[in-house]
Amino acid sequence: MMNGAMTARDSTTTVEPLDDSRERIARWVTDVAGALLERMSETTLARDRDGTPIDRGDLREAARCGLLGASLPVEVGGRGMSTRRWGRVLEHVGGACEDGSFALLVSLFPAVARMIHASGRADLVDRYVRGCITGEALVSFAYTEDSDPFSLASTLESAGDDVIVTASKTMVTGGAIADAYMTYVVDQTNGDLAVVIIDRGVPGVEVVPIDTMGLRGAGLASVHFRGVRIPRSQVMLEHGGLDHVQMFLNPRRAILCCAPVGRMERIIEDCVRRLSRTVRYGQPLTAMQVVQARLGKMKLALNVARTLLDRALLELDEGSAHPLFDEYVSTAKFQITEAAIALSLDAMYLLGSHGYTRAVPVERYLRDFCGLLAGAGAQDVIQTNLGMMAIGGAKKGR
Amino acid sequence: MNIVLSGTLQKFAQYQREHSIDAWTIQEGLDHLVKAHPALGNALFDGAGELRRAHLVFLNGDQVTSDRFSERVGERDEIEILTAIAGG
Ligand SMILES: Cc1cc2nc3c(=O)[nH]c(=O)nc-3n(C[C@H](O)[C@H](O)[C@H](O)COP(=O)(O)OP(=O)(O)OC[C@H]3O[C@@H](n4cnc5c(N)ncnc54)[C@H](O)[C@@H]3O)c2cc1C
Repeated sequence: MMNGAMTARDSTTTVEPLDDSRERIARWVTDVAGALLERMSETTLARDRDGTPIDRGDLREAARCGLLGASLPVEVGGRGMSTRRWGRVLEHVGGACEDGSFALLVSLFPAVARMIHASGRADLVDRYVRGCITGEALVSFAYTEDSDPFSLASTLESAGDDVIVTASKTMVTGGAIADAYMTYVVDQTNGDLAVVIIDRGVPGVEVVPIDTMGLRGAGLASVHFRGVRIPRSQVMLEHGGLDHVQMFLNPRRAILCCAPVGRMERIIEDCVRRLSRTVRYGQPLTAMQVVQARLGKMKLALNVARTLLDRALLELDEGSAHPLFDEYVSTAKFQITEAAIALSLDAMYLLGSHGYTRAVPVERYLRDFCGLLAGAGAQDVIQTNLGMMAIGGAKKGR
Repeated sequence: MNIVLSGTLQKFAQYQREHSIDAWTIQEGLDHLVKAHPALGNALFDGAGELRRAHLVFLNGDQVTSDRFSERVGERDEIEILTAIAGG
C-alpha cells in the first residue's frame, strides 16, 4: 500500500483540469489524491465494522491534496471550481473511494464554508473558510432537532457582549469530527432563527456519536449545546435562519448525490467483471439475457441519474435554480436516491449469495445510499413540496 | 381575495386552508391574515418584516415575488402560499 501522506502531490503544483470532461477530471483527481483515495478504500472495512469516524489526519491530507478547497473562492485560497466541475470531482471520488463517508465529508465541510464565506464576515472567513481549505477548522451543519422547522426548541439569549445557546441537534454529519458547528437557534428577543458558529471546545458542548446503519465513518453524532456561552461575534446571522438553511440545503441536494452516482457506475463495472467470470451451464452469466437485461436496467438508472445531476449542477452554476427550493435540483436528489438504492438491490439480485455477504461490499453501499432517504430533506417531504408546487402552478389560466 | 395556505402553514391558522380576505393588494391581504391569526406572523415574516423566502407565493397559479405585493388584485383572485421547506 502506498502512503498517501508521502506520495500525494502537492495540489499547488498540479495543473487544474482544463475542461469539465469526466476523463480530465478523473485524471486530475487521481493525480492529486489517488494515493489517499486508495488508502481510504483499504481502510473502509474497519471503519464500517467499528463505526470509527474518518481520521482527522486523512481529512487534513484531503485538504493538502486540494480537495477541501477545490470549490471555495480563489480570493481566500480556494480553487474556485464551478459547481459542475466540483460535482464531477466528487463523482470521481465516489467511484474511486469505497468509503461513502469520505466523499460525504469532503463535500460537506466546503459546503458549510461557502455559507460562511457568503456571510461576508472577514473574521469568520479567516478562521473557518481558510480553516476548511487547510483542513484545520472543519465546520459541520447542525440544524435538525426533534421538531418541525417552526417549533425548534433551541434558544439564544443575550448576556451582555455574549450570547448563551441551548440546543439539542439530533443528527449531525461529521459531528464527531468537526471543530465547530454552524447551528440554528431561536433568538429569544425577536423569536427569529439566528445562525451561530460554535467551537467544539467551548464548555457545554457535548457530542454523542450515533450508531448508524451506514455511512459509519462519517462521524454522525447528536450535538448538544448546554447553556454554551460564546461571544456575540460568533452570531453569523441575527435573523432569517430559516431562509439560510434552505439556501444551504438547496445546492447541497445536488452535491450530495454526486459521489453516489460515481459509486453506481463502479457497482455496474464490478458486477460485469464478476459475472463475466462466473460460468453456469458452460457459459458466463453475462451471456444470459436476463442478466443482460438487469445490467441494462442498472445502466439506464445510471444514465438518468447523470442526466439529472448534470442539469441540476448547470442550473446552480447559471443561477437559474430557485435559491431556496429548486424543483429540478430536488427532483435530481429524489430520483438519484431512489435509483442508487434500486441499483444496489439489482446488484444483489445478480450476485446471488455473494451479494449477501460482507465480502462483497454491495450491502455496504446499500446501507450508505439509504442515508440519502432522510439526508438533505426527506424523500417524502420533497415529494410533498413538489406536489404542492404542482397544485399551485396548475391554477394558472383557470 | 382568497388566500390558500399550504399544509405547513395551516397549523398556524387553526388548520384552515382557505381564507377569504377583504383586501386590495397581496401585502394588505397578508397583513389582514396575520391580524386574524397572529401565530402566522413569525412563520410568514422574518425579523425585518419581510416575507420569508422559503414561502413561494402564487397569484392565480403564477409565481410572484415581493416586488409585486403592492399591485392591485381583484376580489376573485386567488393567492396561494406554498412553503417549500425540507430539513437537513
Ligand atoms: C445520513 C444522514 C445525515 C444527516 N445529516 C444531517 C446534518 O448534517 N445536519 C442536520 O441538521 N441534519 C442531518 N440529518 C437529519 C435529516 O435532515 C433529517 O433526518 C430529515 O430532515 C428528517 O427529519 P426528522 O429525522 O426529524 O424526521 P421527522 O420530521 O420525524 O419525519 C419523519 C418522516 O415523516 C414524514 N414527514 C415529516 N414531515 C413531513 C412533511 N412536512 N411532509 C411530508 N412528510 C413529512 C417523512 O416521511 C419523514 O421522513 C441527517 C440525516 C441522515 C439520515
